[in-house]
Order: sequence, then structure tokens, then C-alpha cells
Amino acid sequence: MSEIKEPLVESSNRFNLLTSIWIVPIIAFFVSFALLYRHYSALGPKIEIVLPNSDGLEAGQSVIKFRNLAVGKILKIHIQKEGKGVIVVARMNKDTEEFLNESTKFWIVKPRVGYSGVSGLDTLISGSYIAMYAKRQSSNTKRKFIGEMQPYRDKDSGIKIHMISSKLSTVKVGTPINYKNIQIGEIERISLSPNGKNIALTAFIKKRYKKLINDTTKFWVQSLASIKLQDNRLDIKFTPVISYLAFGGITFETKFDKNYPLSPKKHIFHLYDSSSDAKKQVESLKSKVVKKVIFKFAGRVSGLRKDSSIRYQGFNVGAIKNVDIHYDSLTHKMNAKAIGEIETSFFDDANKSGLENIKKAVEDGMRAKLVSSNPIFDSLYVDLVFLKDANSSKKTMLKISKDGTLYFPVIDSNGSELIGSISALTNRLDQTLIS
Amino acid sequence: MAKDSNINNELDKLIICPNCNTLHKKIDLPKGKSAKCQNCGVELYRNDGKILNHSLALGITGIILFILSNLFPLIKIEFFGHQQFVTIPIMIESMYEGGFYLVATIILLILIFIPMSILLLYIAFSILMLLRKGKALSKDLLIMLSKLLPWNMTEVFLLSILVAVTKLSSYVEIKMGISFWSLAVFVLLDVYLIKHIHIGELWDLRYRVFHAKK
Amino acid sequence: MQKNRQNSNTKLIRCPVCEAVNIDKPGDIYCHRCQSRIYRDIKYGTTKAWAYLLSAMALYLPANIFPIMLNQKFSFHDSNTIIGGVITLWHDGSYLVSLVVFVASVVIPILKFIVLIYLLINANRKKDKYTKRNLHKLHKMTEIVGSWSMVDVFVVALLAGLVHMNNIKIIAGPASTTFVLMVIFTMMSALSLDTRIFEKGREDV
Repeated sequence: MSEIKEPLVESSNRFNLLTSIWIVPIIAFFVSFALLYRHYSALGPKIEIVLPNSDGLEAGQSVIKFRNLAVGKILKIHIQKEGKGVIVVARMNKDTEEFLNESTKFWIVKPRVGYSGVSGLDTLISGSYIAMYAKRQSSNTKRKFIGEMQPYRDKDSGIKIHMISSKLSTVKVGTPINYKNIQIGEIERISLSPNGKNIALTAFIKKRYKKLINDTTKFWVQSLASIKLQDNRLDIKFTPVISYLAFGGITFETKFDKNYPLSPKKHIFHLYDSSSDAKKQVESLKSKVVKKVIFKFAGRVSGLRKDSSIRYQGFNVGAIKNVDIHYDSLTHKMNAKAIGEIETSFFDDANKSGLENIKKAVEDGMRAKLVSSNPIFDSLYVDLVFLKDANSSKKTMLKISKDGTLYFPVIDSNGSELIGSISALTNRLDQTLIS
Repeated sequence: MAKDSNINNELDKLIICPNCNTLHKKIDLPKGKSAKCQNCGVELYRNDGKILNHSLALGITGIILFILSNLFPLIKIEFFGHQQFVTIPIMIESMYEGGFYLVATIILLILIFIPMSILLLYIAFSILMLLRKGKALSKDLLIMLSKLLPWNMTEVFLLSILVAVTKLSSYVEIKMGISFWSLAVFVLLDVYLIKHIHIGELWDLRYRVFHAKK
Repeated sequence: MQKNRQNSNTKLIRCPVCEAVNIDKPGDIYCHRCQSRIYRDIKYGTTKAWAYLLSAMALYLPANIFPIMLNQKFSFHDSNTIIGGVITLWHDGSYLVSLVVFVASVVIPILKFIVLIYLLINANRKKDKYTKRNLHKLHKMTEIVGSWSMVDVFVVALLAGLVHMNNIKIIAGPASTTFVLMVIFTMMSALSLDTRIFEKGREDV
């Protein structure tokens, strides 16, 4: 017969615990619904921040930190169509609602080794992030913000000072300012000065160290090691290597004297290239005397503008504050009335005040002349020079008005010959300065 | 041709063991019983009367779980304060971004497209059977289903997650995400659905439904 | 097993698509229930399977030589081949996982190659009843176990998708592509095997 077999019959192993299989999808549905609900209700607010560029931020990865705690994550970054920046879309934690208001500030922080709070390894891994500052407010929450270009400092946490330097060297944003190997502040912002000739820096000094800074403070760029031979002793100092290699360093020296209060905010400090340069620089021992001065130039005056410097023999002795240019129908030239400030105490000497020395110099032929400082930027500065052919008969005097404003005589840029220096006068001034 | 259909009818009363190729006669089973191969013991078919309900209910559950598994993180890691997570779409996207288009597409197929299609086919077929419609369509569905079934690799993926977690555990902190658990349940369901509902049973079901029309 | 039905020597085969029983005939065979083509003419029996198998074996070599994963930690670049990864896991003490990866990525593919070669070689030899049955079982097992070799590929994809922080990244290596293709080809080889070749027994000439 056939060899067709019959299968063995056994009880099915499928267990029928459930009264109906439909329990399963129902459970699944409710569980997933609950999970989804929990997930979406735990999500915090979505915000937008406008920043000039995305500078190392990564969508889906970079975080927003508040008081060094991650409180949000960047979802997307896209180009701002109506502007020149980028829009960062971020999802904040639920509990940050109260901190998203008018006082909230955001800025980008790039990874760095050095500054307080953040451990190096942490940011090297997490990359750039957005830092946040806010005061708690229960109302007026905002969702759209404009980011800051530089770190926002709570006004109480320190002061900002401005420096100027002729070249950049190793200094960059984040360069620490050290005092006796303690970091007391850092460079926040670096830009070209308005006249295009110098580098303008803004530094932040922590609050408790601000008394180290006064008018006599001289800043200079640290080198890796400084070797000094002094009093037959070799003095070698090293700066902390790691942060130096990354960011360089700036240090300073201050003379403490009850005559010198904390420097006003407007005071601009010079950043010297080395400690020897700084020490060579003369600081006036008395308080500065600054006088308002007015020059009336004619001819090619277009490069004269606010912040153009007033110089004598290469030294900056003042700056122009305001320039008024108008057409003169009689001479057919452009006339410029420049109002500036001269630090007359620069010309102080042992016997006379700077103002008196200037008056004498003008009688001896000192004039103001416009000199081109930079053909590319078309900028001019005012140079105080001596006329060779002084009209000895007609002595030009420095006019001083009732309110103390000096009206300085000028000469044409293409006219009378000039004398670079008159040795007698120069010597006298030099001696004053070196002492 | 009558002879042909006679032959076919006779053939349909037989079943061959998929494991050892032994021929058996299909006998009617009382409820709750299963039929096994005489030679190798592998289950041939079973009868518990609920095949339709089961396949529909489990198919729907499968879809819900599957969507959940793809939405949420599988693994979350924390390394020096920095957190990262991965979901299945993120994983595939990063393969695309890395330039591995072939691998990414293949993973997309076998982890997303195929399992989803299998579940949808089960659901569609069950609905058709319930409605007693779509004779030709249900046939196409079953054929597609049997072609896709060998390529379902979700359980392999589950194991891979465990291997990856072990590799990472030596230097980062790990937390399993929601999707991992839903995927685990999904795999259990999947295994049950695929291994215990035989294609032959579905064909028989179809035959019974369309018996009058056939 | 041979069957005697109305005619003598009618061979019956199982449709892989719908599990129905069909009559074996020369030439192409179509399933009576689902109309899918079961097998082509017997003379094509093993061509496809051999083609896939040989391609898979060729792909396995680069899959092991090229790195399957690249590790980037700060500026330290490290690349791992499959076997290198197994050794590293073993050294790190994760013996279980090391074994799992070893089995899934080395043992199983090589075994599959051996089994498939064995099955294909035995296709035209004379076999007895037990051998035939074993061949069927082997074939079935190959199909079941085949997909597990994908473990390594998924692991690499997971790690690459997960670890991409600022200075620490994991990137997939070129071996992943060849490995994936190897696994797929072995699966296709097993699927395309004409199981009638196992049926050629002593009775045939």
C-alpha cells in the first residue's frame, strides 16, 4: 500500500492565557500612547537665537549651558534669510521657562583650556556650545533672542578695559591676563581700531582684581620665558606652558600710589610687545593734563577723521575728536575744522608746564601738519613739526581762548619746507622725557 | 481538466515536512492540537481556530511596537558629561552620511522596509479573510509574504544592540532607551508570529474562505 | 521519498512559497496553488547556487582584510578588522561577546561555505535515504542560521551612528560593504538551491 504517513497528533503548545488575543494590541496601544504623551509633555520650550555665525556649533549635538549645566540642545541651524547671520533653533529643558525673558543673553563659547569652571577635557569632547545668562522672571517669557557677539558679563562680575596695540602677535580672544601667574581676566574682543592703524582690544578683569589696575598700569605680551640679567643675578621666569601655547598671555605692572585711583573706563591702555618695551615707555608721574585744541586745515583733508592721532616725533600726544569739513567758495578748497585733545603734560619738564613749553615751541615755529599715515586706508594724522623758514619778524603765537582751547597754527602739506627737528628744541624735550 | 483538478485536490491533502522532506497526509485536527513530522518532530501545522484573530491582532501590535522602536533612542551614552543617543533612523542616516550608500540601503530594507511590509501583509491578508474578499489579491499578498519572510532580521539586530552595548561599556556610561525595550517585545512577537503561523495554514485558510468560489 | 500514486514513480515536491505539494516533472515547474515557479529545468539545478556561493566566498576575503570599523580618539586613529575586533574584545575580558562576534562573523560564514559546497557537490552523487534526509536538514539549517552573520554589520552601524562627538568618532570601514554583500549572497545561494538535487538517489541512473 502507500507509504503515506499520518502525522503525529499532539497538543498544541500555544497557551491560551488571554481570554482574547486582542488584549495584546490594546495594551500595546495604551502603553505607546502613554510613552508618547510622557515624552512630548516633558519637552521644554523651543527657542530661536540669532547669531552672526554658527562657529563650531553642530545641529543635534551642541548644547546650551546655563551656570555650566546643560539646559538645552541645538536642533537645527539655518541661514537667516533677511539678515546676515544664522538662526539656531534649540529645545530647552522644561524647567528653564522662567529664565527665558528680557534679561536672557546667549553667546557662543569655543573650546578652550584655561578659564575657570570648565574642565578642559569636557569641552574638547563636547565642542563649542552656547552659554546663557539670565535672571529669573515669572512673566514675559520670550522665544526669540538675538545672540551676543561676545560673552556677556554681569556688570558686577568685573570691569572692562580697553587696550591698543600696534601689532597683534600672539594675542587672541581668550588670551589670559595674568598677574603673578594667576589669571585675573582675559581678552574678550579684538578688532581693528577705527583709524585702521592699530589693534583695539577689550579685556575683562574679574571684579576682585580690579584694584590692581590704575592709570599707571602698563600691559605687555608675555613671552614664554624671560631672562633678565640684573644685579649680577640671572632671573628666569616661565609662564604656565599649556595655556601659553594655546593662547599666549598678557601681564602687567602697576605702581600703587594713593594718587592714582582706579582708572576710568574710557582710559585706553597701550599693550606693549614685551616687558622691555613697556618699561621704556614713559609714564607721566603727575596727573595728565589734557587740553582741547582746534586746527583749521585746508586742502586734502578727506583722511582726517575722529580718532586720527596727533603726534609729535612719533609719540602719540593726542587725538582728534571731531572733524567738520566744508567747502570754501573763496579759496575753492575743502576746509576742515578739527577739534581734538592734546595731552599737554607730555611736554612737561622740570621747570615749566607742558602748556608753556608748547607756547614757546609754537613761537619757535612748531606747526600742525596733515600727514598721510596709511595710503590704503586714506587716513591722515596731525603731525607737530617745525617750519624751517620761520618768519622771525612775524611771530605766530599759540592762541588760547577764554575756555582754555588752543588754536594751533597749521601749515600746508605741500608748501613750506619743513624741518624734521631742530636739534636744540629736540634735545631739550628729549631730556625732559628721559628723566 | 477534471482529472487535473482531481489531482490537485488529492495533492492538497498531502503535506511535505520542510525539514526532512518526508511526506505526510493532512489530517483534520481537533481544536488545540498540532501535527508533527514523524521523522524529525518538526511542527507541520496546527489548529487552534484563532489563526485569523491572532494574525490580525499581533500584526497591529507589531506595527505599533515597530513604530515606537524607530522613534525613540535605542541606546543612550554619557561621556564626560556629554550625552549622545542613537535611534534606528539616525543610525541609517549616519551610514549614508559616511558614504556607505549600499550598506545603508540594505539596512534600511531589512530593518525597516521588510519587517514593516511583513506586518502590513499579515494585517491586509487577515482583513481580506474577514471580509471574504479579494481572491486574487490575497493570493498575491501571500506570495509576497513568503518571499519577504526569509529576509526579516530584527532578532539579529536585537543581538547586535547587546554586542554594541558590551563593546561600549568599557569606556562610557550606558543607559538603554525606550526603543530597546519596545524592540525586544517586538522581536518576541515577531518570532511568534512568523515561526508559529505557517504559511501553509494561511493558504488553507484562504482556501476555506474561498472554498465556494474555488 | 518516492511516491507511488496513480502512476508509478511520481515524485512529489514541496513548493517553497506556499508549502503545497506538487508533482515533479521535467522542465519548468509551476506550483498548482500559487503559480510561482518552483524550479527550472533540472539541468540548471545548481548553477545559480554555485554562482552566488563563489561570489560570496570571493567577497569574504576583503571583508576580513579591510577594516570594518575606524576608531578616532582625538588624533589617535585606530582601525579594526573583524578578527582584530574579536581579539580586542577577548583581551578586554568580554569573553562572551567576543565569542558571539567570532561565531557570527567567522564560524557561521565559513561553515555556510563548507555546508553549501558539500550540498552542491553531493547533488549529483548517489545517495541513500538517510543522506538525503540529512541533506535536507542541513539545507534547512543553513537557511535559518544564515542571517545571523549580519551581527557585525549592525554593530558597526550602531556604533557609527552613536559615537560622533567632537573629538571621538567611530566610522564604518570598507569591509562593511563587502561583508554585507557576502551575507546576502550566501542567503541567496541557499534560497536558490533546487532541493530536487538532494533527491537523486541510487535509483536514478
